[in-house]
Amino acid sequence: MNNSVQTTGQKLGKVVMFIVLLIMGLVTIFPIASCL
Amino acid sequence: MSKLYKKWFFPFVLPAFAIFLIVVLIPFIIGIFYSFTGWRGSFFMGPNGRTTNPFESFLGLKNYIAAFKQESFRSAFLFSVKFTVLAVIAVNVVALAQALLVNAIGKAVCVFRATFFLPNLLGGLSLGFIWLFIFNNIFTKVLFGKEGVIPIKFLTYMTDKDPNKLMFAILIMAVWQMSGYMMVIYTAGLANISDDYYEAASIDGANAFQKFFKITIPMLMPSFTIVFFLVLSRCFMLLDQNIALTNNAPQGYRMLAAQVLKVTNDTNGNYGIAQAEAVIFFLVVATISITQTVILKGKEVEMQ
Repeated sequence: MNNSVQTTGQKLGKVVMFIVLLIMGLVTIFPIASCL
Repeated sequence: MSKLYKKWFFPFVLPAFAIFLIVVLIPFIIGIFYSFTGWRGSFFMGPNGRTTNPFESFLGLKNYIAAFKQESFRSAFLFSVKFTVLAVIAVNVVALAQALLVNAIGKAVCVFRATFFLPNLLGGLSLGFIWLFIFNNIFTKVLFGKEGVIPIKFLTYMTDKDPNKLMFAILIMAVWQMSGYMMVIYTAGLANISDDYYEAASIDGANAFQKFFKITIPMLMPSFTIVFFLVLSRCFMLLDQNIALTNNAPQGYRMLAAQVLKVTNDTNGNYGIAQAEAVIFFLVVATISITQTVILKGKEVEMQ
């Protein structure tokens, strides 16, 4: 796979995926953080 | 090397095997024997009253029949099966999504992996009490209550008198705890898939869905086998979270393991019935786990 050239759609996809991951991470941390 | 291996094999294996024999295997076999008798903890209850001879109180399959006649055992069995089916699907979907997303992003991978794995480091009961606090206070009062951020009635008072709500609550907890561990297994599986396959598929004009269903899924089959087995056995044996959330009180809200623990109290210390339930529990878990492993093993792709 050639990762050096990315279309705008691919870049947008990565940003969306990053945001989804970030939300998942926050949801995972939340129960532990709520007890602090 | 082989000579050295042969010479030292038994001296090194013996201590571990002896401990396994004494702590696991022998009690397990004695336990199966007790399930056919009127065992009361310190004596046997035979037809002529108390006895120390186990063969005088041999009951055959009576304990097993009594176990199946118990409404609480049947409801716990059904509750466990329903929960396990839902949990296996939910944990796999979430874990696979996490693994694919982390793999696709390629940035801050370690941070995300550590974050998702974090819930695994917490113990069972403490985890149960953390979630009890969240369901009763944060979910009910802050987030989903009448005056909450988003009023959703189903997500309030989840540990009270509705078995469906309780099952959903334990499901949230199980997914939260297990998905990180399973994600690590899937990530390892994804790392083993060579980029060549995807490159060849791209040249042939395959789209992302075709690549996922024709390359990723078949190549991940060994990981699926392990993850299915782990989730299945862990969900069936779920005990502490269930006890923490329900305080082990109402019948029909218990998982099978919690029920086996509780039955001695319900039957005035008749450990024979409790042992029979434990043996049934073992047989169910073993049968389902082995069947699932055999089926999935057959679907694994052989690497050349």
